[in-house]
Amino acid sequence: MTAEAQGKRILLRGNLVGRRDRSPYAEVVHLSAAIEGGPADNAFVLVYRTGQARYVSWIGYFDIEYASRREPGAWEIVEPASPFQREVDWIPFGWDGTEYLPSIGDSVLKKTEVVQ
Amino acid sequence: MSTNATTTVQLDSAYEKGVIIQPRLPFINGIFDLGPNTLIASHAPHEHIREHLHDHLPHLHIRYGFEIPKQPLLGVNETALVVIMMIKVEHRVDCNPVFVALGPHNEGVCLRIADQDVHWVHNEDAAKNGTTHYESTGRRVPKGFYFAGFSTADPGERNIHHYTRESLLRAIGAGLRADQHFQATWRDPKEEPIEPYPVVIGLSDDTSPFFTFFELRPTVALGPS
Repeated sequence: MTAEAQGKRILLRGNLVGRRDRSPYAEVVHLSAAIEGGPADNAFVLVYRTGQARYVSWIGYFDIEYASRREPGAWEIVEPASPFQREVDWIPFGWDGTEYLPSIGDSVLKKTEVVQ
Repeated sequence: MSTNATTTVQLDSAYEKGVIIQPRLPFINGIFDLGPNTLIASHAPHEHIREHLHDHLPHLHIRYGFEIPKQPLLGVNETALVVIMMIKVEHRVDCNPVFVALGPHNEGVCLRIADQDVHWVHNEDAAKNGTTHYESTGRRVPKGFYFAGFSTADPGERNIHHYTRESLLRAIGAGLRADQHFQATWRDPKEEPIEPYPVVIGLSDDTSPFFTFFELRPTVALGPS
C-alpha cells in the first residue's frame, strides 16, 4: 500500500490476533462485528503503522502461523486475542500488489521459500 | 489359548488398504438454496452468514457430495481424510464443515466423528502428494492453476487430526453420505468478481495409496453432448 493512499476515516474495533514485527510493521485484527462504512463482520484486516488498514484473505490463527513459517521472526501471534480500537484510514482493497504477504499455497506455488 | 492373539490380514493389493470415498452430487441445498446440480457459483460480497468465511469478499462457492460406503477398513489403524482441489494461482480456498442434514433454521448439521465436528486444515504436503498422483496418470496441472490441499483437523483448525479405525467404522455405519462446501477468494483481496471455472477435486486419506479425482463444472450439461 502506498504511503499516499487515503481512505475513509473510521474507528476500527476488533480483536488483535497478531503482529508483523518487521517493515512494513502492522497488526492483524479480527472483526467480531461489522463497522458501518468499514470492514465486515468476521473479516481479518491488516492495520499498518501508517494508520492505513485493509482486508486480508486470512481466516484464523493458522494463517499467522503459516506466515511465521514463511517469514521466520516476522510474525507474532497474540493469543488469547486482545481488544483493539484505533482510528484508521480504511482502504479495503488498497493492496498495490508490490508487497508480499504470505498466503497458504505459497510452497505449492514454489514462491521464495523464505522472504526476508 | 492366549487372549492377546491377533489376526494377520493378508491384502491382495495395496489398493485394498485405505478408505474408499466416492463422489456424489450434493443432496442438501446449499447457501442461497443452491440446488444439487449447482456445484460452482460466483458471488459478490454479501451479508455475513454463520460458517461462511469469505462472504465480505468476491468468492467462488465450490461444493460436492460424497459417500463413504460400508467397508472393512482393513489395514487402517488411524487416518486423516484428505481433499485437494485445483484452483487458480491468484486464489486461495478455505473450507466449511461437512454437512449431513439440514437442521433448524435451514442450518447445516455437521458430520461428527469421535464426538467432534469434522474440521479441515490446510495441508500443502497433501497437495503436493495429490499433484504427484494426478500427474502420474499422464495429466498435467495446467499453467495458472495449483492444487490446494486439506486434511481433517482439530476443532481449532490448526493441526491435522487422525481418526481411529473404530471411530470411522462407527461414523460410516451402513454407509455415510455427506456434502462438502468450500469457498475460494483472491489471495490478495480485490473487488473484481471471480469468473466461475471448472474445479478438479481429489479425495483420499493419508493411508490410501490412491486418490479419487473428479471435476466440478460451473454449468452442468443436460442432454447428449
